[in-house]
Amino acid sequence: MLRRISIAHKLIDAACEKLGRPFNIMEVCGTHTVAIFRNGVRTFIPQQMNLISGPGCPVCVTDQRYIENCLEMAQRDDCIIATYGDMIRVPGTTGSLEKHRGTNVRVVFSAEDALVLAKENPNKTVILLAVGFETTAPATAVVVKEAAERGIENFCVYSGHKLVIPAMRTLLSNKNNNIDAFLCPGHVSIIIGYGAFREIVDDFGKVCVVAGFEPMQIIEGLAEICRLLTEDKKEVVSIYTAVVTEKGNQKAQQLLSEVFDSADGYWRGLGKIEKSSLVLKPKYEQFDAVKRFAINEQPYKDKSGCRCGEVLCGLIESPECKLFGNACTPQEPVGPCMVSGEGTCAAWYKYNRKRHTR
Amino acid sequence: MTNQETKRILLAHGGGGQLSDELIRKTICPRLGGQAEQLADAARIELDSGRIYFTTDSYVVKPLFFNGGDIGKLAVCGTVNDLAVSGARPIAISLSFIIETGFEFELLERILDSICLAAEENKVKIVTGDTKTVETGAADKIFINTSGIGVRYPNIELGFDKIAAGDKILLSGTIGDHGMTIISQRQDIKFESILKSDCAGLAGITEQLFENTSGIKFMRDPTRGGLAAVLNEISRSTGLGIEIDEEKIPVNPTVQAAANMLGFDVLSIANEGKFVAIVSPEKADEALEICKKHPLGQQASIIGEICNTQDEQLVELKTRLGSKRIVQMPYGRELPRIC
Amino acid sequence: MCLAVPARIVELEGDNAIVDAMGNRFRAKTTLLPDAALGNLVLVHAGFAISIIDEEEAKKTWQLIEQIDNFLETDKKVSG
Repeated sequence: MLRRISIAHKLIDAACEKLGRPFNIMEVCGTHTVAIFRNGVRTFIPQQMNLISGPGCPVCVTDQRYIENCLEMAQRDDCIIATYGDMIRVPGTTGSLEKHRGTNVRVVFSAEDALVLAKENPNKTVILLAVGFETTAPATAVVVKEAAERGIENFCVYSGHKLVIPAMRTLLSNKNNNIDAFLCPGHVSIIIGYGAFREIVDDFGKVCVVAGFEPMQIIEGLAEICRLLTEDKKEVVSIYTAVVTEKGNQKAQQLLSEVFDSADGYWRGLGKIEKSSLVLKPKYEQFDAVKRFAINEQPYKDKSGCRCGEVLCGLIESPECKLFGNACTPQEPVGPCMVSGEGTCAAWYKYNRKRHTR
Repeated sequence: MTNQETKRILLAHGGGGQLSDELIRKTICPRLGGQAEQLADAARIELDSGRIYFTTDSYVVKPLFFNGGDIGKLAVCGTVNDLAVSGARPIAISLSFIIETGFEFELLERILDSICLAAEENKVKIVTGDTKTVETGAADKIFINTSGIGVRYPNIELGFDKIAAGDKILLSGTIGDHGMTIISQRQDIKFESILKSDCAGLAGITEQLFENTSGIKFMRDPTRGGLAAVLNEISRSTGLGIEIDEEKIPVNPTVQAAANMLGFDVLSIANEGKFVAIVSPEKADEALEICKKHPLGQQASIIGEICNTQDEQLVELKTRLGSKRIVQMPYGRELPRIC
Repeated sequence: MCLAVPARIVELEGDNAIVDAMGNRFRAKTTLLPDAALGNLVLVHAGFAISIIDEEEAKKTWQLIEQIDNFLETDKKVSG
């Protein structure tokens, strides 16, 4: 492995010299952000290479309105909220879901568990907080179909699912075009296929490399990006060959198009993005929490001072936010970038920040 | 009413009357070795040493029984370990039970048997105790409180003030085993696994170290908060930096896989049968060899060293890639990551 | 995009599987992998298997080379 690391090192160093200018690589995915920090990758790369964190943390890009709505539903006695772990500490105006944990709020590790909860609690409606990108959305599609087939009526889904490619497009068009290449999310690519990133290459001229999350994958992914940049090749390449194919998981894609429509969505930091959210098709309306509970979907005005939006677009680094490490810490987070396990600010605080608390 | 007819703890078992008396004489004492002094209000212990080490702990683990141990074994080992890592030979333990009405006798007997075995293995005596009962719902099945005393090993003086830059960090074995085992049996996560708690008393292995080498400057057992918490505490208390090597930290692949699956960091997960020792550089290899000869130390490893720092005390980890990143004090409640 | 862990399918009935990750057994659904079979190494995310892992490729490109070897050892331990 040491040999491979040194080969990667050499490639990266040679590329930096040849390019002769600083260049920016955005890691789209929150899991990459955390892996990069946890493996100290930033201390490892030449100065000219800038790694920028992007809007790849599904909890972080969820509009505040979604969180407020979840908190409201959690206070109803006739509901049980089923959520993945990440959402539980995201702060809203009335606290976080953690307050209700064990009573109205249950942490689930699988969408299937939410269905089981519904069966075990026939007098309550179970609402699955379906947050996540294309990696997680197929699971939601499966359970919605199952609920429909088995007639499980006390179950519904509050979809917060988002799509990666529209976000990348909006980012490049409106917010931050100063990106040379993308380190693309390995697990989203399992579902959508690495071919899906071709439109980023063709329409924006950016290099895209799909990589997994092990440290070697990240280093070799960065080396591959360097190679493509120096050879001036605008291409999509996948080095996560063990699991990613060009076309992706066809069954998962089929289920997604069977159960969901894409709609305009509100992303923290990026604003409104066309066709970037997944909403349940009218056929599955009865399982849609938005319809069942007449949920208010107006976007929320972001808390003053919180700069999560800019962090998510790679416009600032976490320590540039005045709240970072002072008013906003993992123990008392102001914004989701600090509380989510994949949040950029949380990763920075945990692995990079040198000063001890206060 | 006698014990033979009762299969569960009644409130009256804590009342100080006939049932209490029978509980102690016929169930508790015989299972703990049946020493007469256990029946006195206070134990009398003869000591030579001018210094006594004294510790106390409470045990509320859930579930009560887990792969590799139970609340009883944990109570003895935890107390023994607090003494052992302080540089003391554990001598005697007190044992207090708070038991919920309705608790099954059979479970109490299993716990007592575990306590007896753990005490024997660590050469400590249970010298005194107390039993209280509370109404159903007023305690979660059974709580145990202990106190323990130990005596000093000659020439062993451990303390933060002894630690200096250049000292080596010795870890006695794999990390994360206990915490991940408990998590695997938590109601909300429960999954089948070959995971096993490392719950064990360190009296024997520390005896080997203290009697056969000098140069041990400090010790701690990484329980709640795991290795990360201990190292940060050392750094903070000494004002020195710490550098550890990821490659040198032993982790059981089953523990790592479970942690990955659930989104936990093994550095922050509790251990109940391990210690971290700070050893002078000249004696580090010798200490390592002594550990490896003992059954509890076969995967012992020198994982890093104490160093001078420029600005703030830091605990830094050298990753497998050769790069560095910080190891923070754990937040207190690791949030499992899924999506 | 999210945590996904390699595990081997050790029981399979319909699309309900038990997967083994180094001796830890979890339930997982194989609905997204109609071709999944007993013995496959799969990537599991949020209770669903999302991809079959090409073990030869994995050995070449994945750091989990040791882990895959360990799988064999643990498999023996688990079944033994």
